[in-house]
Amino acid sequence: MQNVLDTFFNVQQMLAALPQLLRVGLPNTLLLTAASFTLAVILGLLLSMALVSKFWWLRTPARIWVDIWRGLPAILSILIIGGGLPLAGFDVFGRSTYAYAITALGIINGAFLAETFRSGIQSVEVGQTEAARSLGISGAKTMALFIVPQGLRRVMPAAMNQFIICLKETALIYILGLVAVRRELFSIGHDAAAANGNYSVMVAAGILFLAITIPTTYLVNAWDRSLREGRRPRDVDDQPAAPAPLTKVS
Amino acid sequence: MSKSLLRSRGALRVRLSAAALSIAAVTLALTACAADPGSNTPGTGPDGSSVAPSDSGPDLGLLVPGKLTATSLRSQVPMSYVDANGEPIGFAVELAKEVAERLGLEIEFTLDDVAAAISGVVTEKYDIMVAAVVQTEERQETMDFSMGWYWAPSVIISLEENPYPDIEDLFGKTVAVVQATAQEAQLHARFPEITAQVFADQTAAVTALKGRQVDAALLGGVNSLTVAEEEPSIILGAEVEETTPSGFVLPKGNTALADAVNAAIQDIIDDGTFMELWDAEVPFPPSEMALETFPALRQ
Repeated sequence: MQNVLDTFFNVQQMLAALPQLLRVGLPNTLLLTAASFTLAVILGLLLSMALVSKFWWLRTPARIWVDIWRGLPAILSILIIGGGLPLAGFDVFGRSTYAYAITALGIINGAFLAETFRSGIQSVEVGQTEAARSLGISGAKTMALFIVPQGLRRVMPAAMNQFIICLKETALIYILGLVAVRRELFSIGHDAAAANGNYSVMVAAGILFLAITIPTTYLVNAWDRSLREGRRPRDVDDQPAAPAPLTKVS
Repeated sequence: MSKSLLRSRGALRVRLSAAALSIAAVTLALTACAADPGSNTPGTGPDGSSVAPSDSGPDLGLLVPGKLTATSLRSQVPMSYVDANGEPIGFAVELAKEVAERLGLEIEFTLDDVAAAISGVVTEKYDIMVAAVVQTEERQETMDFSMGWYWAPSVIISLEENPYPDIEDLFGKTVAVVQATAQEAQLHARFPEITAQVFADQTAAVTALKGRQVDAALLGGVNSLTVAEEEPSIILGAEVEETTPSGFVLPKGNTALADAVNAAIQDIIDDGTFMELWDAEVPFPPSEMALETFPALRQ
């Protein structure tokens, strides 16, 4: 038992690494997560619309794209984009490791979000579409104004799940090689483990991950609750009037 | 299952028990695969009975008396790596086998990666880590080392289109190194003017060099030679001398084992076996530092 405590919970080592974790690791992790998730949401939205489109030339490429990036292991995807692209001559981001990493994480999580958003959009009752179309509103406007907003609201908790997954996947970008000031939380822990044979700093990094994910989870649950339950009912004056009686049409 | 069975009243129960059975079967299979075949409890033999330490010598504090429980690496060429069948080979492996023989011990290898192997010795999962590990001051706080028997030569590699022949040319530039290697320790300790970009493995580092993401790479001597041979666009630069020795990793405080291992290594050097093994496994001669430290190596 003492061995476990020494290897995983050596407080001295954790405290010694804390400045690095807080000043370098935490900001880098947050930056990576925020940037890649933003990209993921944009890509996910575009892809989900393509997936439900009536045009096969939009649907099929979107389907193939989503299947590939959802299916490949994330670390391989990061390697392909961050290592493969420059190697093939497309150094679109010059030397910026983070730009490649954010692109990769954005594409991977965007593929998952595409499916999430698609299921939300398709869960909106067909009566909504019928009602909008029968009022003369075009197909595209119906989607944009009625279907997509409702659909997205329904899957917000699932989308925020993907945020947490995205956060944890930032631990994989070490494969692209990091300079000291660009290390995110996990790589600081891993470096310490390779140097000292001790995993305590990795555990400390893990605790910081929890410090981000747990409050996020509670916030998202509160938001979801407020969306579902709506505002508190007001008092008597605002109740709707009794419905008019049906009259016969002669 | 027949359709009627699936539709009948008891269908739910049947399906639930089928699911439960398959989960149980999968769990059992996984546990069987993951079960540790050998016993590593200190002081007990393979059948669980207590075994007194071997009375042919001092108690070395081994996890399993009579056996060196060792860990080795997968790709530390030419010191500690694997052949096509996954069996450990390399100079460090051969040296360790020779040491075990001289101490009258068996030796058993488990493959691991650097961080886990080092951690394994520190947490008493292994008696010894068989590889060339640089004896940095940071490491000496939590683990012991055998006497240093290797001074890792490092060689710069860079792109032919943008060469960096000497280490001084790289001041202010970005150089790729592999995590936990002697080269990473070297850049960190002796060349802070160089920005070190640390990669998880050599392939990632070389890919980054070829993709012009870094200016050069600093790899172990043999590795640099191999890469330069295989990649037409990469050329060799100067060798960077290493001053910190590498050796086996041993558990902290186990002086009996360290003394025994060091005595064995010294014997192996003195009677010429060291050079025999070296010539068989290592394609370059021992460095100046090695020859100065162990005059017996001079032939």
